This record gives sequence, structure tokens and C-alpha cells, in this order.
Amino acid sequence: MTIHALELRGISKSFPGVRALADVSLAIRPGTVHAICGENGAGKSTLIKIATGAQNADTGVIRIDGQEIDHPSRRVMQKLGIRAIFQERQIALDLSVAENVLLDGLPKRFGRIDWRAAKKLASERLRALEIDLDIDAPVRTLSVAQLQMMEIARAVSFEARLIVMDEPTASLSRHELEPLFRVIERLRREGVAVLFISHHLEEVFEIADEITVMRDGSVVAQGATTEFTPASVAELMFGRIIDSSRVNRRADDQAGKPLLVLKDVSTQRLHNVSFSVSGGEILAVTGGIGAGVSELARVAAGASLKTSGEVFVVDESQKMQGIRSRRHALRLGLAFLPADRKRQGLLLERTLVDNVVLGQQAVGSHLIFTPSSATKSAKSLIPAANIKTANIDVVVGTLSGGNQQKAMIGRWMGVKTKIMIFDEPTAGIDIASKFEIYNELRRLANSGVAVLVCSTDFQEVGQVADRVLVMRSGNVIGEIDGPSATERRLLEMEMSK
Amino acid sequence: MTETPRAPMKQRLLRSDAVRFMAPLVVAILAISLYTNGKNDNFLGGDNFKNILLQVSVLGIIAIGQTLLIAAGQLDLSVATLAALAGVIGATRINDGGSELWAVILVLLICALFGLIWGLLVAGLRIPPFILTLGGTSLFASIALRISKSSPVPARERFEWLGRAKILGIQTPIWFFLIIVVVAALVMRYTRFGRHVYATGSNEEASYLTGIPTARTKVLCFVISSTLAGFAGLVAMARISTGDPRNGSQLALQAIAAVVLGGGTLAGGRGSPIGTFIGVVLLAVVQSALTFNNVQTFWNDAVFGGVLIFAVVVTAIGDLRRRRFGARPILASLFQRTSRASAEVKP
Repeated sequence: MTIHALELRGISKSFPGVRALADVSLAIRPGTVHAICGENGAGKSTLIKIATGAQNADTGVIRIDGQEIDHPSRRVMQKLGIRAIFQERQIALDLSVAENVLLDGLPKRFGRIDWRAAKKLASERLRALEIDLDIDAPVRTLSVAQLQMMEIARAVSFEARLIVMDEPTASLSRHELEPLFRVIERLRREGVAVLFISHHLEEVFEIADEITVMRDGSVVAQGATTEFTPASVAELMFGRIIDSSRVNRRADDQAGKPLLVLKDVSTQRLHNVSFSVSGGEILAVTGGIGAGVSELARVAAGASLKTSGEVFVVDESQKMQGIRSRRHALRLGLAFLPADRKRQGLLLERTLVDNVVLGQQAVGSHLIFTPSSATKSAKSLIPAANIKTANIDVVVGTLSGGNQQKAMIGRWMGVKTKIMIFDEPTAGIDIASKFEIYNELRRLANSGVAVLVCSTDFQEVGQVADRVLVMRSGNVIGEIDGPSATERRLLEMEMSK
Repeated sequence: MTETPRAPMKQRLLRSDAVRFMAPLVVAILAISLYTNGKNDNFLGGDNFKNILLQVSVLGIIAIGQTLLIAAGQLDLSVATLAALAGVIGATRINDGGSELWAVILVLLICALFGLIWGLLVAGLRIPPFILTLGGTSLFASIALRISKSSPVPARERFEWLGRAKILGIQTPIWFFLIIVVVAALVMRYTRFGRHVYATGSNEEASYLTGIPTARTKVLCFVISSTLAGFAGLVAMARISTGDPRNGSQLALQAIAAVVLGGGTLAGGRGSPIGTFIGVVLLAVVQSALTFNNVQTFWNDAVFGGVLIFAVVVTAIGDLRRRRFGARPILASLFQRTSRASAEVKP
């Protein structure tokens, strides 16, 4: 009998009114990478919480190295070497890398912290994983990818048996994946098991030894990666065939007049960016890390300052209006949908009603808003944006990523919007909902809106855009039309000199 | 296209501020009143209830200003000493021979100006309002002492209409308080400004990126709150015909307590004028009941603190239960140590 690093047997868990997990079993051998695939709401996060002891199962058994764990808790599981790296990072921002790596136990000498030993220990641990980080650097200055490496180092330093990685690649650009995979490879060689949760099937097939596919709280398939193909996993995840050809393309060349014009826009990271977006078209701006795609979105929306250049909105009388502030841009009909929906987009603790009427309340053509008029417009905006919800009074934070993004789109359907700027429109959204969002974007464009999509997802850019601009370190280095913007073609453009 | 329905009435009611915050306070007020009245029927009889309202009208007016600030995610600790300063300036102006009306207008303008300064510093330089207004507290206290030469300033004219006159048998401070509550409640519920306040308090960055004028909203809240504090100071001065520089140093914290009792959270996005009104009345009824029950006065602060702590603990438990974890893990989480020490940071 093989000894498993972690074995879950017959796990079930219910919340009031919801069956989150039904008889889920899972066994991970030391030194293997086990991927869990599933749509939002398939039960992945509940399973992770139970595996790490953050929540207890209603029924079922957890075994570590064949030993049954009677009372699993976060603390017990950590002691037994089950570590987790969550999407919400557990980091003390004002401490140094060394302190963060050793956060759970700094070496002591005569009852005081032995800083010299601490630094030595921390740098040894980083070196063992071939992670290149300055141990004295304040953590605030690190990139997201570096923070993640630091968290892995911390997890490993405490004799981890199994590391759970919850969507580790969600906020990484393609270039940052390779070091992550190298570290995972290293862990595998050292006999550490990895439970890998990801939306991206490509990555799963690149790194995982075994795959568990979940749907609606149950395991629908389990086996070695070689038994699956990305298409078969997608089909199992959604219970139907996912076909990218469902994304609607523009019917014909119906682009109208330019509505958003950027002229020589520069900031510290952007250099003389110029382009225009016309009504009815979807223009995508893409590039890798450091290209400045996200900054461009903010500047074009009037939310970040520029050092020189001008962002113009063309008004009804064809006059070019330079935007002065985020609010001024809104008044001219420019809506902005940021990438980080939770922090920058939604009033998470308020209801769907409050969130979809926010656009009207921001534009402020009326001084008076009654709750009943808000309810009334929400009742029509919510189905108009295809938001799937039982009722309009749900708290927005409880909706899925796809529905949250649609709530932000719905916000702008109630007001006259001519230009919509999306920063990473499908970050953290599962494949099926992605296509729905793409179709929403197309519907917006077809209604005459100029849509600017700023995205580092090459696949997405090719699927959704009519025209694509490629950026590198703050410069626009090329343009290509949408249908020919394959992932490979974009990669070539980005890499070329 | 079919419309998406509302949640069932029962669910909406259970989640509403009225049921979650206000109803328990009203029940508490009734219970305390009836209990005390059972021992001494002067509590509900006679003028006692009017007296209670009169006692809290100054606190209440300040608390309404604080409600706006807290709903917008802000805070102003300096309102108490600003109110005292307003009283001193008002009394001094009258004694120097100005008209009553001019004295009032001047004081309100000065207070609005201080509010504007706070607002601009908070919104423009992103200074945490807690520290800024903590500094302001000392500053205003000092200025008030300087102007009054450290002793109460008797006002020769008595500001009859501000503090003592009666309309329909009810003193004007009560009228002012009630009118301000009603106006604030209407503004917060039905106007664009009110919606902007709640949006700013719920998620300032999201509101800003949406295009809501968050900076202007915050500045306005500070201006309104400071002006109301100045007005409250004038009312307090008129009631005793004296501008006392040391008057009401506890008012700021009591006002914040009343807002929190009424459903406000210091994290912002919640709080309502009606809730605050009920919170203020509860604090006053408790205070009065202690006197009626012959409890020694040094218990007053303990009871005040106890009521506040009890209310926030009950609210916090309610909030936890509303999340999907259910009630059971609440106790468990008290004993389970997680890595709370480290901040949770999202990329």
C-alpha cells in the first residue's frame, strides 16, 4: 500500500441550504503534483479549507501518512506539514523578506532573536529553492510574483509535506510562470506533494501528474494527467462542450467615428502612446509584464496622472474634449471597469441593487434618488446585463466572478456611455463565464460603444478584439487585426526586436 | 425581458438596518423605561421625557454630523472642543455688543471653515482623520481657553430663541435636534449626495474609479459636521447663558458611540441619522434611569461603556452569523489561533 502525503476519504460538507461537497475522496502521493479543476462553485475552495483544517467536514476522514487526524484545525494541519498559499496573501508588508520567510519562528538565542542566524537561515532556504530574492528588501517593494516565491519559501521551510496552491498563477504574467514551475519541480524532487488549483488548463497539463475534476461538489473524474486532454477536462468541468467559436465576431466592418483619442500620452512608464478607438469596435491593448497595459487603462480613464500628452473624448459636436479627471471623463461618457473588482470595482458588502445603480448615481443628472426608483432600474438592468441571480437583493460579494463583472457592466447600461475601458476583463473568471463576458463586450460594441480592452491574456485578446495593439516597456510596438492575432503571433511580436 | 425579482420580504426585513439595529434599541429603551417607571412613575409621567430629550439635544446634533462622517468612512474627534469654542466665541461676540443673529452666523462660518480645512487636508493629503482631528481637539480647547481667559463667559443677552424659548410647549433645542434628524435622514436616503456618502464609505477607491466625486463628498461631510458642532455649541451656550470653554469634553466620544449603537461602523458605509437618533435617546434614557434608580453617579461611565461594548459584540456576532459559516464556528474561532498577526494582502 502506498503511503499518501494527504488522503481525504468520503468528505461531505453542507452549508445552510447548500451541499458544498458530496462524498469527495482524494489521495496525493509524496512528490507529485495533483491538480483540482472545476468551475467556480464546484467546491474547490471548500475542499481546500477542509484539507488545511480551516473548516471541518460534516463526514469523512482525513489521513496524513496513513494516520487518521481526529480533530483537524489550521494549527494541527500546519504542524503536520500541510501548508497553503492562498490568493489572499498572508504577508507582513512592513517586515523584511527574511522575517517573512521565518514568520512562524525566528531563531532565538538567549531568549532573544538571533538576527544573524535568521538571515543565514532565510537565505539558505531561498537558495535551496533557487529563488533569487534580496533578504533585506522590504516586502512592500516586491512584485506579486516575488511575494509568491517568498510565501512558497516560508511554506517549505517548515518541513512541508504538502503545499496547497490556490490559483497561484491568477495574478502572474506568462513570464513569471516559469520560475514558479521551476520551484514546483524542485519541490516535487524533494518529495513534497503539491495540490494545485488553477483555472488555466494549459498550466495544469504542463505541471500536474494527476488531475481531479470537480463539478457541483462531487468528483466527476480522477486519474493521471495522461488520461485526459484539455478538451476532455473542460467538458467534464462544465458538463458540456466548450467551444470558443461561440464568441461572436463583428458582423462586418461597421466601425464608426473615433470616440476616444490618445495623443502622445506619457507617464513615467508609458512613452508617447497614441491611438484611437472608434464607436462599434473593440480595440485590445496587450503586452507582457512591465509593458504598462494596466497603467495605460488607468491613464486613459482619467484615473492616473500623465506627464505629457492628452486623452480626448470626441463629443456629439465632434469636438475633442481633453479629459481632466476621472469624474470629468465620466461626464463625457467614459466608463472604467478595473481589473481588481473586489478592491476597485464593487461595493462588496452592499447589495446588487446598490452596485448596479451606482453608475446613474455617479453621473448624477438627478439630485434625488429614491430607493424604489433604484429597485425599479435594477430590476431591468440585472437581466439586461445577463446577471444570473435568484433575486436583486443579494450581497454582491457572494456572487461569482463572472456575475460580479457583469454587475459592473450593468452599472453602465443605465447611463449614456460612449466609451468603456476594461482592465483585464476576465481576471479570475472561469472559462464558460469568460465567453459570456466576451459576448457582452461584443454586444456593447454593436450598440455603438467604443470598447478598449487592456489585457495581458493573449488568448483572450485574439478571441475578442477587432484590432490589437502590442506594447513593450511602455511603447506601442505593433498593431495587428483581431482575427489574425493568434497567441503565437502575438508572442512573436512581443519577443521580436 | 423578464425582470429579476426582489428577495422575499421576510429576508429583506431581517437584513434591514431597521430590524437589525433600531428595533433592539427601541426594545431596550421601552424595557428600561417601563422598569424604571414601575419603581417611580415620574419617569414616563410629567416632563421627564421632554427633559431627557432636552438633555441630549446638543449631543444629538453633534452625533448627526458624526453620522455623515462615519458613513463616509471618516471621523472627527475635534467636534466636542469645537462646540465649546463656538459657545465661547458666541458669548464673547454678544458681550462685545454685536447682534445675536450676527454672532450665530459668524460662529457657524468659523466652524464651517475649520471643517473645510479638515476636509481638504484629509481628502487632499490623505491624512488619517483620527490623528488630524485629535490634534484639532487640543487646538480648539486651547483657543477657547485663550478667548475666555480660562473662565466661563456669561452671555449678557440670553439667546432666548436658541436655548430656552418654547414652541408648542417644547423647548427650541428639541425642535432643532428633531428637525436636523429628519432633514439628515431625508438627505442620506433620497439625495445624490447621500448615495455618494455611502458609496465613498463602502469602497472609496471603487467609488472614485466609477467617477463619484469622493474628495468633494468627504470635504462636504467635514464642513457639515463642523457646522453642526458649532450650532450645537451655541445651543449649549444659550441654554445656560454661558460660554464654557470646558463644556462637554466627552461629547465627541459619546456621539461616536451613539452612531455605532445606531448601526454605524467605523469602517464606513453604514450608519443612519434615525439609528443615531435612537442611539442618542438610549444613552440618555439609561443615564436618566440610573438617576431614578438611585444608582451612584460613578457607575454612569461604566454603564455607558457596558452598553456600547454589549451592542458592538451583539452586532459582530450577527455579522458573523450572516456569513455562510453559520453560528457554530464563532466560538470555535475564539479558541483557534490562526495567523492573525500577519496582514492579509491581495495582489
